Amino acid sequence: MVRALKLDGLDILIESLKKDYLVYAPLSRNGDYFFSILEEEKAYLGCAVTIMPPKRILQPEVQTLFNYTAVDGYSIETPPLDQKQALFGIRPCDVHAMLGFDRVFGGRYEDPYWWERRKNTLVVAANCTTVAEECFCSSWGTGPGLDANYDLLLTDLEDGYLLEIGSPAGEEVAIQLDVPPAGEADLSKKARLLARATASIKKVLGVKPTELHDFLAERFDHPAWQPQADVCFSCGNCTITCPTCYCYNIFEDYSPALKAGERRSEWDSCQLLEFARIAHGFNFRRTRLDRFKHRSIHKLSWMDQQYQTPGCVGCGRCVRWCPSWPVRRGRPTSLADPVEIIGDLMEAV
Amino acid sequence: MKNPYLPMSCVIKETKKETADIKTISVELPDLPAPFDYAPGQFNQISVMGVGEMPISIGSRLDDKTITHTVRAVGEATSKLVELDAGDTIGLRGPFGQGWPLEAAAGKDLLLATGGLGLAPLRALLDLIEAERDRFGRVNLAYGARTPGDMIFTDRFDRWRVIPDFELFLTVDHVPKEAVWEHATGVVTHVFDRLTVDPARALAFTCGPEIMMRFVANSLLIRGFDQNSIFVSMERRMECGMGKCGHCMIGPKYVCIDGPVFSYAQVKALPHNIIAGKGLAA
Repeated sequence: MVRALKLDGLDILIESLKKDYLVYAPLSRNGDYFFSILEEEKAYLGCAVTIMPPKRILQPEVQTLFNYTAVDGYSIETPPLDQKQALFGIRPCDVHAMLGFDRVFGGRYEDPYWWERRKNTLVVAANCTTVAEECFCSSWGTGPGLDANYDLLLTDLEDGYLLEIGSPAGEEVAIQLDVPPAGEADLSKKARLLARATASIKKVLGVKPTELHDFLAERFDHPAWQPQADVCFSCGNCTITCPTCYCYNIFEDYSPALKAGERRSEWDSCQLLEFARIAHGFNFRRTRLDRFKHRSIHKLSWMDQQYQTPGCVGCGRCVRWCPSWPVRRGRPTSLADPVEIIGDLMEAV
Repeated sequence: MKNPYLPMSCVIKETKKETADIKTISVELPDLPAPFDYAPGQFNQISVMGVGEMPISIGSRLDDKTITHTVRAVGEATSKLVELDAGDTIGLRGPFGQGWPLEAAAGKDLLLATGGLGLAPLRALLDLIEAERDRFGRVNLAYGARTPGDMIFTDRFDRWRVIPDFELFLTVDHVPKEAVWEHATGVVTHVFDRLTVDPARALAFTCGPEIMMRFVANSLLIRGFDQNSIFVSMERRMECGMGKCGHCMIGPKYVCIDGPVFSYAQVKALPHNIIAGKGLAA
């Protein structure tokens, strides 16, 4: 089996994918990028994380769990989830986040909505040969290159694209392309470009991932949390744009006579006031401080304890989309930035 | 792949009013490939279709196909649930969570310290104590409520009193003028001086408002109970019941799959709770 091909351009691959898959790709929208259905536009593979992570394609913001009709008891119908789709241009950090969702939606109670979509999704990943200011994937080992867990993997070699094959489903697409295999020179160029990209990452998490659990447990009452929480808007941008944030509500939409309806799930955010409020009104994380700490420590330590997968992949979306920049009084980055949070907590008390 | 979000359609066989706002609902399960098996302290997700789903502890098993749930009208979904009657249909999925530590309790004395509706998650265990008395040592049930009218399972008290080596201690915060009350007054810890279980060989199971469980735990620690011998049943907002939706998290623990029963030692290490009083910002 050929492991890698050399493409002059992406069109041939995209056209081939479109035959069998609904193709999602990063598309330009007013200077930013969104994963959307690829039709006539050009997919963008330059350096930029999309505003929203591709999690929404596998776990939509709102999804139907089932429809029901209530006549003599009730009967339930679940939606079909058999659309074959390709995630074109998904970045290494986002692939790692997707593997995290596999852990969350796996385990003892497998989530059939996630897994149906997941099994029908072809992962056409793209290595990052250049990085953005907010990126810190190298601190987590989640980028800028991807070693496994893809069907196809693209690397922009400047004079064309390296296409590596990672699975039988990927191979099926690749063999239809009728292009020559890549040479040794292409593979070593890829290694050089990724080494250059890694070296260009400026942001570094101050504590090693393996040490974060103890580091944060010891600093639960550190005074640095309060001034951070004081300028948090509790808007939830950091969680909504986070590729590893998975929390959701379950709610109902029903006919006025309660004879038929739909049960759905929708994304939720632990930063919103109601998240931990119980029926008679008590709220276990009423203050911004409690919610800010919950999000930060869950990302950086608790999620790993729960699912043996990191809650942060260093994509930098929370850094970019946290609206606290203007009120940060000259600080170089936003309040949601894990590198900054850890940095503040490293200050001796 | 089995879909754990889909509730089973169940018919309410009977309802019983326990107090002004608490009702016990007997639910007939559909035909299942294997009998519905649950451990005392586990819960089900009950659906009122069109309104929503709520986590409710599982009470008694009346026969192979019938189980009870005791519910207080608190929020939107529970208020609708207590309005339902025999013949109405509800949805049910479960059982979920870790119940009371029965293996650790084998041969030990048991103190059950509860308040108000907190007796409901202990009901299945009380049934088990009645049915298999030899499994446990001496048992004390300390039960408190706001007033005598707020007590549930009152029709059961006489049966429990005649269980060998079983003491029932009742207390209420307040006795209304017209009520007759021949038991203690004060919060549930007030009866602890009369306990007959041996702290050195007893486990304590407590369920009630978190502030009550805080005082119960503190009082028992002073009386020589080990923090690994005190178990609490926690409550949090829940949506999925399966350790995924994130709502019931207390630090790294999910109440739905790691709990709802935790040891006091476990809770002490967790933030954002009232029992250990840690990490709730003012």
